[in-house]
Amino acid sequence: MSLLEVNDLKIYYKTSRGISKAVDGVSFAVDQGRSLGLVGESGCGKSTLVKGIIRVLAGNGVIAGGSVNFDGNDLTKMAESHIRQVRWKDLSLIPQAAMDSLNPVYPVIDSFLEILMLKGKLSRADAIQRAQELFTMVGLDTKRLRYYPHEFSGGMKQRAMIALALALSPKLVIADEPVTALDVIVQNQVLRVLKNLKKELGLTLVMITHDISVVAETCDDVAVMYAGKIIELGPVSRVLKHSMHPYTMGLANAFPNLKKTESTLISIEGSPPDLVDPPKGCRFAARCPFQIEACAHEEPSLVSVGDRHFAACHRLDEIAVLQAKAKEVDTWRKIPS
Amino acid sequence: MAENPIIEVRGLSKHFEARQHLFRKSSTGAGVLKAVDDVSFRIPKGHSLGIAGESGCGKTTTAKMLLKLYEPTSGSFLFNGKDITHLRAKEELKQFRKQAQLMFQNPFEALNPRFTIFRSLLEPLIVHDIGTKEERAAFIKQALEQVNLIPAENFFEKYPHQMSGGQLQRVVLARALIVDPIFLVADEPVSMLDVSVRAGVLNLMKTLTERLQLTTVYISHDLSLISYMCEQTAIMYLGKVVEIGDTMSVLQKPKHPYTQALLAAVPSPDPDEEPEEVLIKNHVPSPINMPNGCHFQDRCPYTEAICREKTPELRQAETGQIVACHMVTPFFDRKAEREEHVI
Repeated sequence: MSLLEVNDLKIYYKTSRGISKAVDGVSFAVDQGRSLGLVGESGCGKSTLVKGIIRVLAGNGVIAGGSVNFDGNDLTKMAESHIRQVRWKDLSLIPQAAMDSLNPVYPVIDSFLEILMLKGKLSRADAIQRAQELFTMVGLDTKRLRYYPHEFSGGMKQRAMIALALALSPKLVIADEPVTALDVIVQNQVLRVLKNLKKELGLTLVMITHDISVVAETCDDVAVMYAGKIIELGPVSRVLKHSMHPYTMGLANAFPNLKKTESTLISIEGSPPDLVDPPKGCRFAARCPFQIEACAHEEPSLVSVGDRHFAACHRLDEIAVLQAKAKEVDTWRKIPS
Repeated sequence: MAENPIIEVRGLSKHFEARQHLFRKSSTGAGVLKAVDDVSFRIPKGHSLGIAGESGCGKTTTAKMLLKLYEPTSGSFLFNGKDITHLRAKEELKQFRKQAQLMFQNPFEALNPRFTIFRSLLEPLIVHDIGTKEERAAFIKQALEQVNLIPAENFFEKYPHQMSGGQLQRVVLARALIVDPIFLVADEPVSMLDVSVRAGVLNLMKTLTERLQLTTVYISHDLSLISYMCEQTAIMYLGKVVEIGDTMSVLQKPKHPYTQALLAAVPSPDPDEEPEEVLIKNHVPSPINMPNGCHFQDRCPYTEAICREKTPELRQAETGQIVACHMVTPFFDRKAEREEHVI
């Protein structure tokens, strides 16, 4: 059984304009010891999805359906008092902008002691020792535990946050854009820390990012989200190299690659639909160069297209043709609407 | 080349005095932060230079000096053949500000939220006193069409919050180009945009700068962006240019160990590619009161005695680019040697 199993999860926000279906029927599973990358544009629901999983949604957000099975329990049904015990201990989050997540008026060690003593029930001496272990694990000098957050560089704060998330040896760590604000060299160091920890501790990791290169380098599996849905899911090398969904193909075209300098970048025209009033059919149809009539009326479901590889597109049977066409610049020029 | 380059800087430096205390100016001299130190380059008309490096390397300070937002501590700045290092005269400065434009990083903050798009584009025309009322409307229409916001009239009365990031960044570009500049600085032009629309803005900038023969400086930490956009690339580290030359040479055959590390650290979108090993150690040291010798000495995998004694001069490597490294000639042999050891 998978450690995390999300089934048909729906998370809606109440807004002044109506209900926004930020996450609308998302299913995926992550096995023990594997890492899943969640990629997509801003507003596609990837952050909402993980916030829903650990139940820290904003006040106007509700879980409108589905289940989140984590280690045998359904997190969506769990009482708040119970889920508090699961957080940190079994499941922890490395938040986006980890830079600002350490309390600036306390030395960094205080953040560690709070978690370790309060949640982990360790004695002060044990907690200090554990904090030192954690710092060493992420490659930080233990001397720095006594420092204040402003005395850390961005990469160090990020590593401290990773260490904090690992404090009570959780089974699952969710990282929300863990390297977005970092310089490449620091980004590389942080990703390496995460990768090594995964290998050494058998950590299960869910990582949100908008950068497919980061996923390519760190994750085993990838789920591509678009407008509140997963549109393609599978092993990283399958999804990124044999993309089955036009959106994934488009993303690959839009990324500059240092090693392929001669290729032209191609953007995906248009913008994602309004989630208060999403289109009836495929949500990508309006931007898709391959849309056919069915796309406007009927929503494609996520179906198996190979070994653990899933995609949601009406034209999967002619995918080889689409894959070839997707590489041409003209395909993505203004779509006749 | 007979023609003058549009931009030529010689030994440009910007030093800030570092204060140890918030209110007290230290009498002992707490130190000097050399944000930009002895930087020289030239950009011919219509060419583009990408400046890359980690945060704090001085790339933005350099850009600010190129726009005369900072007065350099020393060195000289020639714009279109004219020395404007110490230009103060109001009229001439205004003329310069028309010819040199900046494209901001964050399109969501670069436009006045209370101005319609029309009003935002009208502003530079008013400031520089360009055209009559009718002409201005025509200019604005043309500027929007130029950045593919068509039909332009549909955007006139829109407010920034009604538009997407990609559209806003096009407006920001249109606003920079409406006064017909000859020089454009783009500071991380797409870092705030979603990947799927980035390519559109970049391609647009590429075609427009080519068509208008604009001289451009791109500031970015993203080497793949620079390799896509720029003919020349400069890599900065702690205020110094460590490697500069044709983008092809700098990014495909990097000579400076720092450039090599930067390139190795860029994740590849190909999942089957083995990640390259980044050979450098430690963190960027404090830029205040740097030690003698090469700034990169404490992080470099190839440091020798000379690196601690002497600041390396910029020298041309056999691949064409100019590199500041004592080890530059024997460098490739060293890497090969090292790899043999690993194997």
